[in-house]
Amino acid sequence: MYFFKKYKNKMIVTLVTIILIITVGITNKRNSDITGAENFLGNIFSPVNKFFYSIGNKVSHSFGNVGDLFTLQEEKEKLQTEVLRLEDENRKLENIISKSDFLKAEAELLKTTDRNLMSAEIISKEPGNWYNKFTIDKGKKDGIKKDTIIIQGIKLEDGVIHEGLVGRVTKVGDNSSKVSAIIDEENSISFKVIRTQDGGIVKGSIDSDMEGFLFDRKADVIVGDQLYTSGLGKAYEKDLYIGEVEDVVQLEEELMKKIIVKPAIDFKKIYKVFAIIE
Amino acid sequence: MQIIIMSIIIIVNLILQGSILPFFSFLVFLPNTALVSVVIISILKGKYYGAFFGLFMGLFQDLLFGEAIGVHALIYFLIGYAVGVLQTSLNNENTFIPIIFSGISTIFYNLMYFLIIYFLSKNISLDSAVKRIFSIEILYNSILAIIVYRSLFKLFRTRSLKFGR
Repeated sequence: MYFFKKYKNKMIVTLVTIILIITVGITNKRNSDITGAENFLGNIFSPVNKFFYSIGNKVSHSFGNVGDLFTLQEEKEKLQTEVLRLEDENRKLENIISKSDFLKAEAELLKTTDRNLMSAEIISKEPGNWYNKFTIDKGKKDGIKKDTIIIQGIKLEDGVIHEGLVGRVTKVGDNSSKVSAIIDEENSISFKVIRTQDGGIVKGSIDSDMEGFLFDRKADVIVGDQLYTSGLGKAYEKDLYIGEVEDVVQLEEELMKKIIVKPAIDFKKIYKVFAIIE
Repeated sequence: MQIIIMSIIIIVNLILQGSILPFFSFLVFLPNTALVSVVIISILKGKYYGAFFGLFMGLFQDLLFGEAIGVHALIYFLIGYAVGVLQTSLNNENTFIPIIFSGISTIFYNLMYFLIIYFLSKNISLDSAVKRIFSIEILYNSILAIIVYRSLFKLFRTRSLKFGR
């Protein structure tokens, strides 16, 4: 018994560590369904998170920068005069806003698409700096499955509305599901260049843009080329807009052309998305 | 009473990390409030509270946001225990202690996280892993540690008899 008394602490720590390592191993394999406990917590927290997320969204839209908080006193007077000017401007702008931008893209997308779309709201993002994952407020009850594609309407320079690829569902619960964004490092997407129909693969990277390469080293690709999903491998549907080529790097020793892609969607300001239901 | 305060800290952290901190993404790297509170609780309350506070904090975070259950729980549990063990031999009223501990814990946390996801065969390049392990997050967490330590100090200070101070 002396042995147990002496090493009690260390044994507890070792035991908990082993149990946790086993749970990590088990839960990582069974990847498609949210477990009972997760579902229970998710159901409790998703309205709370939704509430705070929408508040956070409003706050960040009006402040933009925390730095403002420290200079509030100085800025108060300046702002009061500006309010009057802005109120006038606001009346003019309201007229324009109601017709344009996001809502218009959303409406246009619903009108032009031949896919079956469902609107969903983002309720939380995964903490930490390693992955770009977020949770949406639709789940199994609304018809979402694993690998359901998430898109958003985006307006290109030519004024046409496209279906911009946001990500793919990795886990489904009753009322919420987890989405992995395309800028995440664990996602690879097969693409084609719309101008020349050359194919290749892009991957997320740490700097929230994407890196990729072309299958054909001699392929003709220039900065500004637009990329769409090719549908190869069936992970992503065909003809969803990914983004624009930002830079082309020729790697002599690796026998391929590397490209840097700027995704069409601003993942920092994402709020409402669509899910493609089959 | 202190258990209730700890539960409140866990809930506040979950809301903060899931819904509010993502809007500060212009900072590029975000501070980790959960990690900092585990370190501070462990400094103030010792290894038992530290370890199990970390365990529950991590479990809830994994269940709500994570992919595999137990990743954060394991890391926070070990950090809480280790800080608690080291803390007994140090003067815990010095403000430098939480700063140094949360700095080192941040490196340890990211290193452990990288090792776990590496062994779960998620592909991540060594280059970007190093960028994340030694990022500005260390600085953010150290600064955050001062604030959290100051605000929790009065709540959790244990009036035990100590010699050799």
